[in-house]
Amino acid sequence: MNPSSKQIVHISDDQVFESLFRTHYDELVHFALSYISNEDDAEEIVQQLFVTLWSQTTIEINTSVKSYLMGSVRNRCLNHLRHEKVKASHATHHQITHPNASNIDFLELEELKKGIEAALNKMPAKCRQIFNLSRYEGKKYQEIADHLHLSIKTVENQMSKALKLLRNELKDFLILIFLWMVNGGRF
Amino acid sequence: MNTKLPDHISTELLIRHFSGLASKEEELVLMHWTNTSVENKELLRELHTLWADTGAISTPNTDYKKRDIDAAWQKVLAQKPVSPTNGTYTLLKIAAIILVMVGVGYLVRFLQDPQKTYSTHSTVGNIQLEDGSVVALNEASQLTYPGSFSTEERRVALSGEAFFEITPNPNQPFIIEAGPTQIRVLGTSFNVKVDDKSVTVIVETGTVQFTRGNESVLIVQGEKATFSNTTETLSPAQKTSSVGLEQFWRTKSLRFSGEKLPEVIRTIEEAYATQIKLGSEKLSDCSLSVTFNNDTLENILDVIALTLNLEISQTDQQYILTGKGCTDY
Repeated sequence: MNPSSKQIVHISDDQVFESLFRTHYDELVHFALSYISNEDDAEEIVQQLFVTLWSQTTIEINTSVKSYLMGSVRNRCLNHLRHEKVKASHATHHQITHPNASNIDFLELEELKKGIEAALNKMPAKCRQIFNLSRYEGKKYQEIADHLHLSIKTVENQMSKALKLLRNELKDFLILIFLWMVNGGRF
Repeated sequence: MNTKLPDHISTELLIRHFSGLASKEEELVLMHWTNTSVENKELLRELHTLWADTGAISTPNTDYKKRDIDAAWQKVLAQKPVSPTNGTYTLLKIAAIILVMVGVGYLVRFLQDPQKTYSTHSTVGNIQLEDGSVVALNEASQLTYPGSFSTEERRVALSGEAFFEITPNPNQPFIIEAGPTQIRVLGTSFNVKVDDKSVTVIVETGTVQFTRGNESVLIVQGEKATFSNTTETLSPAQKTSSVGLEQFWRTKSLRFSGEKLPEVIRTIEEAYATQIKLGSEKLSDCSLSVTFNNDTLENILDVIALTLNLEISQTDQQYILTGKGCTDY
């Protein structure tokens, strides 16, 4: 954590605002689709983020503006997933007025990335290899088993281990961030 | 939350579900399990978040699906909070327009003789002709025109550069003598640039006939053509760029829609007669979408820096932009 890297950004300048929107829109929507599957919902989420941001004249950013925006989109997607069953009419009443209301979920993207990479590095080599093949190369368990000369059961066990490790590491990481924020950015 | 996955739900099934590849039966099995308790539902959501997070952080390709950004922006704009200062600004804007119109009217009344010349030196100037046509002249340019046009045609001569908005009149063609060429229109708006080496015409609205001797080319909206003195040829009509660099002298506006940063920088260098350097190759992948209207160079660089997370530094001769690039987060 580097508390000294805070940046105060004034986004009340309409031109900066529109420039940020137009430059990053496609990428932000693509990013939202990692979390939710409906394209219209994804676009709506990104648009609503900017509508809310428009009322904040100053926001605090730890990493970069883009990383902040992506973190905010992630946060809203996760909230959307939690409230998926809530009907549209109720949703407007429970509208989140602060861009990052559910703070445990809010991480600027660079912070999330660091957390995940640290967690992946903690995985034993074989476990990580299997996880990468499944997650990033989209290989089925049978393919992984054949490729590494293992049984499917072993692959299955290793993936369970990987997910468990990620859960534990990221849970600790999120709590650590939360405590750090509560302490005003100091340990 | 220490709930474990039951035996009949493998991680492989979960991953197929997260990837949208699970079969109907598998989806039913999963749904049944999640509906059993709140804890199960929470666990599934947690694992889905993990899965999504690990995928979301990987650096994607830069070719995202293009969406209707204009429509999206309109939706955001429609919900813009109303600021108390808006009213004052509108009032000032109207007052400014009235002042300008009064100025032009005065100018026209003053010039009443046969062959008149209107010249500019170090500023842009506007003039309205007898038929209502408006001509905007760039710096160091000159327009020669009659106080009253003949009945068959409206004929003027130009050296330098000007933007014409010609009042339509099919019975009285408007002809501009520009160096060795002639430009003939019935009613349209277009830009003409004449210098020692060439004559270039860019059409904004309508159709323009661009002639030299026996050769001529028809240019329509959004196109341009050039006559070169050196090669003595008239080029065919070609599309103009949407950025608006050629019209910048008059509009003071540049519109970028996803152009890459090196091209953006070159355009700004030319428009503002300055030098801007990019700190590293990595920045070549950045692209920008923004419109600048009547902005100072400093403001433009600030907006670019803020949008793309860059730092600006300056030496006597040039500006330098540095940053991490746009393909990593």
